[in-house]
Amino acid sequence: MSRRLLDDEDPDRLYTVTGGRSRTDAIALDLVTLIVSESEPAPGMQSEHVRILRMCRRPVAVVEISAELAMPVSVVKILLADLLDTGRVSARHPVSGAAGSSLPSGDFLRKVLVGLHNL
Amino acid sequence: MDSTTSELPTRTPLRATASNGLKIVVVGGFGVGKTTMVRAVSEIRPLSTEEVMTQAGATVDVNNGAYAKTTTTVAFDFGRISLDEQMVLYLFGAPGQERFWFLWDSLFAGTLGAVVLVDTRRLADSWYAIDRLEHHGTPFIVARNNFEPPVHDLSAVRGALDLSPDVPLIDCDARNRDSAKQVLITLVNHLYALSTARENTP
Amino acid sequence: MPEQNPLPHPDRRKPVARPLLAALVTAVLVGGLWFWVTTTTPHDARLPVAIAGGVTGLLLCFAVFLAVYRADAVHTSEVSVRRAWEDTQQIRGAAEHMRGELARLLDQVVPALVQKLREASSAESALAEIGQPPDELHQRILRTLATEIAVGERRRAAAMAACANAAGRVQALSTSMLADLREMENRSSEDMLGDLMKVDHSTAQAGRLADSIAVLTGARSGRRWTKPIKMESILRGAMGRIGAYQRVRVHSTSTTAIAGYAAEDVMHALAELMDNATKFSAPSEEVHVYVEDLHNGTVITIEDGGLGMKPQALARAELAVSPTEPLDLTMLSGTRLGLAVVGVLSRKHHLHVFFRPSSRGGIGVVMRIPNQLITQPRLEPLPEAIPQRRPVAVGAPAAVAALEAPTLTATDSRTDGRTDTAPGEPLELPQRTRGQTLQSAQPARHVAEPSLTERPRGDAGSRFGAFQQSRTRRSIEAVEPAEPSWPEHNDA
Repeated sequence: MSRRLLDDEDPDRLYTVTGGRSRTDAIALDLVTLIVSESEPAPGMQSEHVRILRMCRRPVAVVEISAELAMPVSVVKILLADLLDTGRVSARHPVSGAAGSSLPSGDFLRKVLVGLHNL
Repeated sequence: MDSTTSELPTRTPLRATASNGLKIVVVGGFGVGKTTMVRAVSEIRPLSTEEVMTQAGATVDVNNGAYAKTTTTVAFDFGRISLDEQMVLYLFGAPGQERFWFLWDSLFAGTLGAVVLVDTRRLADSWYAIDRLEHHGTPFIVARNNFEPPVHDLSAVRGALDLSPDVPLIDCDARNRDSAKQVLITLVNHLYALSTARENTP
Repeated sequence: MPEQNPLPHPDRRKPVARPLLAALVTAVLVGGLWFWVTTTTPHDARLPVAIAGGVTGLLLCFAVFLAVYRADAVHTSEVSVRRAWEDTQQIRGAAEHMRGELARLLDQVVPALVQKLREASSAESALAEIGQPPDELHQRILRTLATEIAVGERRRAAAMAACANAAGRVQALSTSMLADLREMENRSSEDMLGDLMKVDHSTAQAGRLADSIAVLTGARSGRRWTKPIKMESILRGAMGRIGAYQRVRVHSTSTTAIAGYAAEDVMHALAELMDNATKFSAPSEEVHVYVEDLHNGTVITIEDGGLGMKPQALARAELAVSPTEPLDLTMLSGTRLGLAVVGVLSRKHHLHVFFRPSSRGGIGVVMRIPNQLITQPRLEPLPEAIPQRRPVAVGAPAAVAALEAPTLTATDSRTDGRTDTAPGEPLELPQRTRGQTLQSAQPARHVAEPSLTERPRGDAGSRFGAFQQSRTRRSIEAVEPAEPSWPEHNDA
């Protein structure tokens, strides 16, 4: 049980963070799409964009950004769409090596196995 | 929090070369050990909401007295494993009950496969998850989490769960890193078997 | 007036006495002279002399009588004129005295009485405290007045207290709803998020209205922030409480924050000013907000492209936000509370608000926030090196807000990874039948009721799920309040 006081809250409502948008259909982003900054934050930028740009100097998955900003993935996707549109970040989409079927290829899975064994 | 988790950093940056995010979902009922398992193999401290189940909420200053709210939230948690220079595996722990059905579509999209974590004290908690995975044709294995020496042997569990013979069923200790790792390896081996079988079938 | 003229004139009762006496004296003197003249006159002339002398004497006596009589009459009227004047003076004095008493009553006693009554004294004790005027009529006036004002005051105070109380409850409700909504948003699917945001927005606006009523009824602000709120959040917090926030464009590089104790009020005041700016300009026009950190405080300018204000409206607006004029509730016009609220909040925190023409054609409202309210935001941990941050909700496509489901709390958070509180392993394992759980779960989604699995009653997870399900069939209608036409600013 943890107490959450007003201290943890901010007066910003989510719709003011997204300018009233609740979804973006322009860019498909998976939970595990990796985001990488392509530029430094500029003055006057909204603070979430600044934080994303700082956070993503090394690749960070969408779901991690969401956890870090304490914001829903949908909202993070909207924020990311803005940054992707202006080229400030780039996205590395997941590739499962699946060729036509839902199952990844054997080669791909062998690599995964090697990685797991090396843990 | 046990001691092993507090040693894990919440966020360590990925390699700059990381380019491919993979997903495996660990699904199971409440208290079955999903978070424990994710925590055991993750290189970051799992980000989770299950630790914040009850929140004494915003204290609001209104005229006389304060208002306090209690919110219980349930969500998935996740951990991360860097597999190599490019591949990063994300492990999602998701509640398996039917009432969270709406989580499934988005969480399971693009996932490699699933681990159904079962507790023989509450076996029925896993039924919905297994039904759902069978229905969608998502590859999965079943792992029985043993915090104590089990009473039933695995064949009894397989029978009770009415698992198809090709679905692997193993024992594990979700607290143990090697055991948790072995569960993941079992899943990927199963996927590999399915994949090569399909590749060999014209 | 008899009581002021108590002594009657002795002469008035016998107005002829003095002339008669004078005539008698004359008669004696003239009679003696006549007798002497008659006796000393030779005989032959004695008769005519006697007659002539007698007649003359009589005439003389009569003349004396008349003369004295007239003289007396003149004297008498002079006296009464003088008396009448004295009476008048006396009456005037009394009137002056009364006037003085009345003035004292009005200028000192009545205001003191009203003051006491405003301070919630009862009519009796207020009367006793101010002391009774000597005049009985004045006493009666005071008593009637005191009774009437006391009743009015009680009525006013009761109405204000009821409003403040109701506003406080709505504030508390909206605050908890906003917190709940945020929790739900954090865990909603993309489909749900838009609907939740709509409800969130309406709730924020309702909360602002309650805040306004609280401010005008003298109650305290709805929330106290325990940390400084950074300028970006102040502006967004303000925007989030108005209808047309999407028309507001913020231009700010400010890195300052507002001290927690004042943050809520500053946000509220800014929200009212932004609301005015959006309401009094065309729906197609944007409202621009500029923030500047100066040596004597932070200046926020809100510019609209509306029609501006007529001099009369401007004067009213300036009066409403004047730093010296206290709130006059009689100036409120029901629907236009905004600037009155801004006025109260400005006076409380020494915000300086003034109006000027905007370069955009409409009105520019300038708010200067004094330095004592300005502080620095708490440092946010750098994302690269976050030490044990509070675990946060991941939200999103896959998450759940299971509100008020204590059983979930009990089972999951305590037993995940532990065995001590869980039931022992059964000797008989329950037997699954393939597909049955999934199948039996399907109808449950349509009727929005829990199905067979052991689910706590009223579990919000299922309700939430059912809600999601139902909204895919019937999307929630957007309730858009009718956009008012955009008259000139006449808020005061």
